[in-house]
Amino acid sequence: METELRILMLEDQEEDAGLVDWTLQKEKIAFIRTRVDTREEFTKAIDTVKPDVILSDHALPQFNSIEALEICQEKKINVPFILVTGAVSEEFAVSCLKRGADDYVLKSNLSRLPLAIHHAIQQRKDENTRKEQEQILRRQNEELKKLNQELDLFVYSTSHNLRAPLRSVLGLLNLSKHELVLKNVESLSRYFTMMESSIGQLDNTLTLILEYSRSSRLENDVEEINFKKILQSIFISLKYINGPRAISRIITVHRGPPFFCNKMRLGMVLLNLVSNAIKYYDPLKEDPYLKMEVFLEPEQARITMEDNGIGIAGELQPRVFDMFYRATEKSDGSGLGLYIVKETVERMKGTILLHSEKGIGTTFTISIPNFQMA
Amino acid sequence: MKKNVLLVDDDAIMNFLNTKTLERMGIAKRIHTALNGKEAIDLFNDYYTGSSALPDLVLLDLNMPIMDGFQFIELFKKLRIPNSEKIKIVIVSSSNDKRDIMRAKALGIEHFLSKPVEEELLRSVLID
Repeated sequence: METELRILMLEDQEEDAGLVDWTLQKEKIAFIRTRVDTREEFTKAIDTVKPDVILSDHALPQFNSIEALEICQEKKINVPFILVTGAVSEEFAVSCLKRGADDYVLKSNLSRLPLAIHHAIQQRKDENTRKEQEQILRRQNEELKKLNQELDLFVYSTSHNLRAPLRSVLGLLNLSKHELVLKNVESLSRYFTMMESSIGQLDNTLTLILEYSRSSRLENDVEEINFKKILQSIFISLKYINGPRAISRIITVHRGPPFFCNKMRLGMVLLNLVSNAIKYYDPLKEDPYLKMEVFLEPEQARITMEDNGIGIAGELQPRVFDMFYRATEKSDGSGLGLYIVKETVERMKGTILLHSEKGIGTTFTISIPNFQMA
Repeated sequence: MKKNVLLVDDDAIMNFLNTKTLERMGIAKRIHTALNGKEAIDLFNDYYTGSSALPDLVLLDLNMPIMDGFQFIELFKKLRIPNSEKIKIVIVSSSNDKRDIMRAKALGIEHFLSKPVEEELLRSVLID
């Protein structure tokens, strides 16, 4: 015991307390001892002294060790409680132990006390460590369960998302064989277009699946980000995505300190959000747009993506980030996009907020911490 | 006897393929399509207000946005449309997951086919 041991002693005889002192000093144990002999003093001392160990005699006038033990247990202090007493029956001693006392030492055999104190303190420490480890294990178990459920859902939905378009193509091929015999070129041409669309869907799904599996294994390197460049390259790569009308895009990057983060992850997040804005644009609006604004602060970058697309209904909003949730039939069928976005943002220790009104538009606000090298 | 059929699948192409199969079989009087469970429920509400005849047969996909196949069945039961026991609901899904099959059975659905629907299998289902 490196620092001084704080002992709270419940004892009405000063001489007996003195004997305990002497026994501990003989073993060269450094300690500070506080003696109390009433219930009030005892209760107060627990809080003021904050003892490392409590030594209790049994019978004091108007107060006994069982009551003292109960007070300790009520206060939920995790302090070893050792009965130091004159002759008592063994049954009584055992019943004390059963009630939660750590040990009992007879005053006629005080030489046992130092070891008993040491042993009791060590035991409580070990118990605490064990409980902490149990909690850690329990938490890890919960996480594993959650991961397993996610994986389950992922496998189930993925096999559907891959199989359904393939079945469509097979069905269309069958029909095409008939049309070929009949030499119906117009029908054949229609069927080929439908096949293209199904296969395109399949391709999209596979891309998202790859992204999902990659996102968890991406490296953690950090580099300086040029937002204008990233956003422009995203638009170029999305040039051929569906959507007959061009959506006007306004990019504003405010001046600020240099911003560092994982470029691949940021790219994935922005790509998914931009492609969503394009996909869910509102064809009935005169001027469909996507406004992107970047605010650079020393601790973080704040990015807002505001569109005037079809929006997301209030009651559906809480679920849009769920794996495989699709809020609209216009969805390309995988429902992974926003899930990946949220996961990736969280991996970057950032946050994402959604504000949307059906028929009006949607705004995503993302905050990413600046991983600037010191 | 020709039937009124409701096809429910989020893939328009799948609905098209199933329509073609029904036409080839010559068993459909009228074919309606819905892209998800919610659209299907809305159609039933229309039927119920008397605008058109109820379907006799529903070919129902499971995995659809907004409201999936199972959610549709549960809501459909709550609607308590008169004579709804006469409406045959057949699940047509690309899933072969036992949990889906069991859940379908628990909801009282006797037939679980894969998609797109095959003539022979659909005929045997309609004989029951």
